[in-house]
Amino acid sequence: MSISVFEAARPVFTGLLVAVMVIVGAFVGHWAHGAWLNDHTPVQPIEFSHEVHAGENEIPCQYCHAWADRSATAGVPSVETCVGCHKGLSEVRGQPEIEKLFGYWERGEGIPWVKVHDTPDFVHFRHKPHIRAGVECQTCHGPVEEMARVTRRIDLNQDLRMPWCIDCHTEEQVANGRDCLTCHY
Amino acid sequence: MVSRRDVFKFAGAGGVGVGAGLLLGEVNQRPLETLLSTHIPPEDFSPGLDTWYNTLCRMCPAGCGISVKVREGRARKIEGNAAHPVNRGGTCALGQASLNALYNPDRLRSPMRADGEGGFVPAPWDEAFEELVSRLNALEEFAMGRQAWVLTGGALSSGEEALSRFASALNARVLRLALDTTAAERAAAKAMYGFEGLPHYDIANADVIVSFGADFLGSWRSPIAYAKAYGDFRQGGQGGRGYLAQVEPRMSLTGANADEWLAAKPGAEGALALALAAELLRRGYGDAATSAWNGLSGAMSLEEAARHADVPAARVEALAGRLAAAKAPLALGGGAAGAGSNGTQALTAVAALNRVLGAAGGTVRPNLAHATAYSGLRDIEDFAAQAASGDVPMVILAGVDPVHDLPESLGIRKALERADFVVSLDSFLNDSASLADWVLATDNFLETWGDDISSPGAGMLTATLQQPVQKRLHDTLSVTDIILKLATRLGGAAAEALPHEDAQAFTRSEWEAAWESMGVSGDFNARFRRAQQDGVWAAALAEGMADELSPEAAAPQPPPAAEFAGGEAEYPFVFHPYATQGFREGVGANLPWMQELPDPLTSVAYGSWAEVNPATARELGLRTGDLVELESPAGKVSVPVVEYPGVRPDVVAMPLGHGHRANGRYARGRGANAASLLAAQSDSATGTLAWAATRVALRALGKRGRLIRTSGVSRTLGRQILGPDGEH
Repeated sequence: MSISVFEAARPVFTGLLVAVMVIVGAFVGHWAHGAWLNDHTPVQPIEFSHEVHAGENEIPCQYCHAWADRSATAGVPSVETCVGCHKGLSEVRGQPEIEKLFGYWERGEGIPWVKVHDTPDFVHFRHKPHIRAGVECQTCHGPVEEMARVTRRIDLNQDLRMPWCIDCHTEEQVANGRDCLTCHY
Repeated sequence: MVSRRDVFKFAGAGGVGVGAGLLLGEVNQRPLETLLSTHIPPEDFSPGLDTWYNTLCRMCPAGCGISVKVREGRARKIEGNAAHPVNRGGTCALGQASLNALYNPDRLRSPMRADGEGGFVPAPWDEAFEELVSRLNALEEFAMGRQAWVLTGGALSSGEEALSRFASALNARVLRLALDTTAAERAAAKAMYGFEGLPHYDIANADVIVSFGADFLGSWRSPIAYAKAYGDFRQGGQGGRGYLAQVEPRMSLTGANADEWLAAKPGAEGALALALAAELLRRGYGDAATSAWNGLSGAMSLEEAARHADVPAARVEALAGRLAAAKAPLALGGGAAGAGSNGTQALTAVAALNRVLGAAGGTVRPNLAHATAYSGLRDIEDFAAQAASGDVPMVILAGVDPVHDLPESLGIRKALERADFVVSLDSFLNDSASLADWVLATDNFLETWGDDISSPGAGMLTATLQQPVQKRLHDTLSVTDIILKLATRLGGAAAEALPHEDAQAFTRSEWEAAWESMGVSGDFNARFRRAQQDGVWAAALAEGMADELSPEAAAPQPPPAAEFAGGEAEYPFVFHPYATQGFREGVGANLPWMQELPDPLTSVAYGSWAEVNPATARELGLRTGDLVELESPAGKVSVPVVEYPGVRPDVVAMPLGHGHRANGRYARGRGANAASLLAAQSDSATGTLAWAATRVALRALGKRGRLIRTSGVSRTLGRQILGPDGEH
C-alpha cells in the first residue's frame, strides 16, 4: 500500500481552488455590473435631446451651461431659459415632452435633472480653468451633440477616472497638473 | 483526478463569487443625484460661486458683525466681519452654529394654532392676524383696566423700538427679560463713574487685570471683543505680557487662562475689592474724588478680607503689590460676583477700586450706547400676580423663552397658563411657546432686516445693520413685520405710530432719524447702501467724552454680607450657575453642533452635569458620572456629577441652558435646567434677580448617570506639561 502525498493534500487543493474561484468570480461579477448593469444613461424627467439642441440647431453649449467659463460648475439652465425660447416655438408646442416643460414653468418648480457626469466628493473638479485653457466640452463629455439622451459611456474616459485626467495633464504639461492638491483638497 | 463532485464545487464557488461581485458593484454604485434647476434665478445667481453678505449675528446680545457665504441662494458658512470694530473678524462657536437654527428641521414653517389638546396645527397668516386683531379690538373695548403684556429680550434695536411703540399704542406693559439683567453693573457705573450704561473696558491696553467673576473670555457681555483685546493684552499691548488674576468660586474659561486664580467665597468678592481699594489708598493712590473717601475706613483690612473670602492673605497682599506697580491696571466685576444679594455693592466696590487705581477715564471709559433697562423682580411678580387673579387678557412673547431661561420660581409658567390669550412670536416651539394659543413662525435673523447697537461695544458707537442674506425658507415673517402688519390692521393709534410697510422700511426710517438726530449729514441712500455693504456703521466717541466720567463719586459702602435662599444646615452648598459660550441661557440647546461641542473645561458633550470638588466628592462617596439630586428651596433636578478641581468644596456649579421640555428634537429632554433651581432672590439695591444667591443640597441617587465626555482623565500622567512639579 502506498501513500500518495498528492491524495492526502487533495482536500487542501480543492479548498484553495474553491477560494480562487470565488475571488475570480467576484472580479467578473463586479466588472459585469460596471459594464452592463450600471445606469450610464439615466432617464431624465423630460426627454430632452442634446442631439436636437446642440446638434441640429447648433446652440453653443455655454448658451445654457452659462457658468462653465467662470465657475466650478457649468450649471444647468433655469426653467426661465428653456421657456424663454420655447414660448416662441409654436411648432413644437403640444408635444408631450414640451408640455412637461411648461408644466414645471406654470407650477413654479425647478426640473430635477439626473446627474450624468459626476466626480467623487474628494475630487474638486473645476470647469473654469479647463474651459479657459480651451478644452472642448466633448473631450470629457463625449459627442453630446449626437446624443438623444446623454450617456457617460464613452470609450475614452469611462466614468471620468483619474488616470485619464493625469494622462491629459501630463500630455498638455499643465502647471502643477500632477500635484495631488490640484484636485484633492 | 478531478471528480464530478469537485467540478460542481468549483462551478458553485464561481457562481457565489459572481453574485458577490454583482452585489458589491450595486452597493458601491454612486447614488443617483439630481441637479435641480432654478425656476427664475435671481440676477446675481451663479452656481458654484460664493457671494458674501455682511450682516448681524443675533445669537447673543454682544452684537457682532458677521460675513455670510451664500452659494446658490443659500447661506453656507458664517465668519466674522473683519471690518466690524466689536469682533474684528472673530466669531464664536455659537455664531458659527446659527446656520443650525436656519436649517433646523424643527423650525416652524407657518403660523401654528393650539388645537386645545396640547398640540398645534398649521394655520394661514390671515387667520392668525384676524384672531389677533379681534382680540386686540376686544381688549380696547372691554379691558376695564386690564392690560396686555409684551415680553421681550430687550435688544438695542429698531425691532425693539417697534415693539415699544406698539405696546404704548395698546397701553400694554412691557417686560424686558434676561437672567443677567446688567442692573448691578449699571448701578455701579452710575455711582462711581457717573454715567448711564455699561462701561467700555480697554482690556487691550491694560497691563494688570483683576477680574471679579467676569468670565470675559467665555460668555460675559462681549466675549469676542474681549478675546481679541485679550490677545493684545497678552502679546504686549503695554510693552509686555499682561498679568491676569481671576477671583471666582468656580474656575471659568477666563479663570483657566489667568495667571492666578483666587477661589473666593461666593458673595465675598466685593469686600475683597474694597479692601484692595482701601489698601491702595493707604499707599497714596487715588484722585480728587477718592480723597474725600476718608481712606475707606469702613473697609476690611487686606488680611480680614482674605479671611472673609477664604483665600490666602499672602496672595492678596501680592496682588495689591502688583496693582500698585501697574501702569494701566483694570478691575472687572461681573458674573456671579454681581449676581448675589449684595451684587450692586460688590460691583460698586470693584468700580471704586478702578477709581482709586486711576483706571476711570483710562482703561475704563464710557460708551455712547445706553444699556437696556431690564425688568426687575417686582415687575415680574406684578405680572404673575395679575395673571393669578385673572387680570391678564393677553401676553405677546416676542422671541423670548422665559419659561426655560428664567427661574421657575418667578411664576412665569403659571402666569402664561392663567393668561386669557398668549401669542408667541418665535422660530421654535420652545418651552414658553408650547403654552401659547398661537405661535407665529418668525424668520431666522439671516432672512430679514434689523439692526443692533453694540453695548458695551468697542469704545465707539457701533450700529450693526442686519439684512437678509437669502430668501425665506418657510412661510415666516420677522417679529417687526408681524408688529407692523398688526398695527396696520388695527388702525388707530397703533397704525399712526407704525405706518411703515415692512421691517426693511422701518429699519431704514429708524436709521434716517438716528443719523439726523446725530447731525450725520450727506445723502442718506448712499450712506445706507454703504452701511449695508460694510454691515456696520461706527462713530468714534466724540471729543471730550472721557471727561463725562463724573469727577465726583461718593464713598462706596462696604458690601453687606451676602444672603442666600435656603439655610446652610439644610442646603450646605452654594449653587453657582454659569453661562457657557455654546448654550448661554438656552439659545444653543437646539443646535446640534453646540450639543456635540464638548465643554472646554469638563469635556462633557450632549447634556448637563454638576461640578463638585474632588474632596467633596470623596466625602460624599461620589465619583464622576454618578447621578445626584440637587435640591434648592425652589426645585430639584437630577444630573450626573463631574469631579472638578476648579470649584470650591462648598460650591456646586452647573451650566445654564440645558434641560428644555420642548424646543425641538435636539434640545428636548437633554440635560437638566439649572435655572429651575434658582429662588426668586433679589439684588438688594436694584431689585433685579440675584441668580447666584441660592443654596442647594446634594444627594446621591445610587445610580450612574449618562455622561458623555471626550477626555479620559484630568491628570497629566507624568508628562510634566505643567512644569517639573506638574503632576496633578
